[in-house]
Amino acid sequence: MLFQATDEQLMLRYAKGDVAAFERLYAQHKGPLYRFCLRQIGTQQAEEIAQEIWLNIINARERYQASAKFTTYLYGVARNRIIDHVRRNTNRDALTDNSVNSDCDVVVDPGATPDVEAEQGEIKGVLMRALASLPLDQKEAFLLKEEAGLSVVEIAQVTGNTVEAIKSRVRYAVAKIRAAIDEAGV
Amino acid sequence: MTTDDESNDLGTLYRAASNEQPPKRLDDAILAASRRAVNAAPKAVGPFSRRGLPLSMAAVLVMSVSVVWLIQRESSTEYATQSQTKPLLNIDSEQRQNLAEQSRSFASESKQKVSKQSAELGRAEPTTESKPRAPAPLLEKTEVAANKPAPLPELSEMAVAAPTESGTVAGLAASPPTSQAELQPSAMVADRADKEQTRLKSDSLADAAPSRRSLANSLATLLTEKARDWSFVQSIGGIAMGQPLRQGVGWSLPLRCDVSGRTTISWPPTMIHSGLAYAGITVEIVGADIYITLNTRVVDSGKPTTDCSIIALGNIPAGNYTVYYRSPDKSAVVLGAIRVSKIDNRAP
Repeated sequence: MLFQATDEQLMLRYAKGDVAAFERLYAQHKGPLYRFCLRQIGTQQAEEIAQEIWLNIINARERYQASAKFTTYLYGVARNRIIDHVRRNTNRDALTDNSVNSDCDVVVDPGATPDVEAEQGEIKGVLMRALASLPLDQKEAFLLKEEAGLSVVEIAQVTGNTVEAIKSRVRYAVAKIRAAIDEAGV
Repeated sequence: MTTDDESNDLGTLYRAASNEQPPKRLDDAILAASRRAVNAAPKAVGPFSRRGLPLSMAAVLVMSVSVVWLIQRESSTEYATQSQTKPLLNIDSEQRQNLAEQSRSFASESKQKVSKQSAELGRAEPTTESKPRAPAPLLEKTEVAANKPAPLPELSEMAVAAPTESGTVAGLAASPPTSQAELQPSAMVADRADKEQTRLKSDSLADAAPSRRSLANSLATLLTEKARDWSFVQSIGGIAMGQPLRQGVGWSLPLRCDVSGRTTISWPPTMIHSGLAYAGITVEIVGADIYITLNTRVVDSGKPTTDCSIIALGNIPAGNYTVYYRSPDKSAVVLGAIRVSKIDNRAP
């Protein structure tokens, strides 16, 4: 029964005191949310911010209404928390530098041969560096699409932008990453 | 290759490369926080929750019943403190007749005495032709000829019931005129008679439209109304009656008492009942005997009166009647005698 429940139902159950529902919800979203933070603010801050985001969700559980998709709600909270963090600590534009690259660990398929492993690692490394070099709004749109699995419309709702603006940002982000990979020749 | 295809391919590539997970310490911290939050949250039991509403209603019901019960018990306790009152006089029918004759002779003597007092004071002796508002001595005669304007019977003329003495006639044998009303000028007495008349009208209106009472008042009256015995009447200062009045097609009998115990009617009251209100007089007529019983109730939110007033006797035949105060235990005390004549003594 618990495994068939939607995210919204799990959150509502947790609001009524069902801790198991939250554990299920957390298991489903902890990775994408962590990576969403990690790609934008680095490893050290990502842990801290991810914990704050989940605590916000926990504390606001009784105010949650299932009128919106849970992922939209979750990443809306995450986005606001990241913006607060950036405003509090540093200039947001500074996040577009390549300092994130050093925090971006490239994980290679453990079953791959050394040649494939090397090739995969090289492609992933290029991809992550290209992603880290994107302007924040493009990076944010790309991550909301690939990590959170949100549609363009949902991304527009979360970020408060028009659908066309989000489409444009995603398009630019993909083009830049593709260009980086092509340029690397991998 | 279209932009969408490029995006899908890049998405696949990104998802394959992006598989970092939060450290276990972060998982443990967040899950522990989620459990703490649930365990620390107070159980929400609002006033109108599934169990709260019935409990609240039950509590209100219990409190309401308790308050009513306490009020009734308090009222009974007040009365119980008057248990040192003297025993009631039990009389048979022969004794009643004798008492009635004695009461009539006493009333006659009283009128003569007052007439004499009036003459000594140099005041004009009232006649049957005098105007109702003219200054007149107390205890003046109220029986008037037919077709003449007749004043209302003055309270001073009312038979005064005295505390029961063992072996004496209750109400009449020991009744020197000591009340304040009997010493007042007749103009004041006439005013009081007017008030009695006004009260009669208001009582009639109230009796004619009981549906105007609020439901709460009716319920309070129903729950707290109580017939009182002679000991209670003694404790509130006694009860006095006047001569019968013609009211429409029937007769009415003016009465005077104050259930609050703040007025001397026949003798000084011995108990103040601040929480009681007059709830009416129960009347039963058996032949030439009229039995009355005072009823009280607990004061409610309306405009309670503590004074008893005129009671309706109905269209009783002319003749002499003996009025008794009957306690709930059916013991009776003679209050006095009245005469219902064929003469219409209705006030103009």
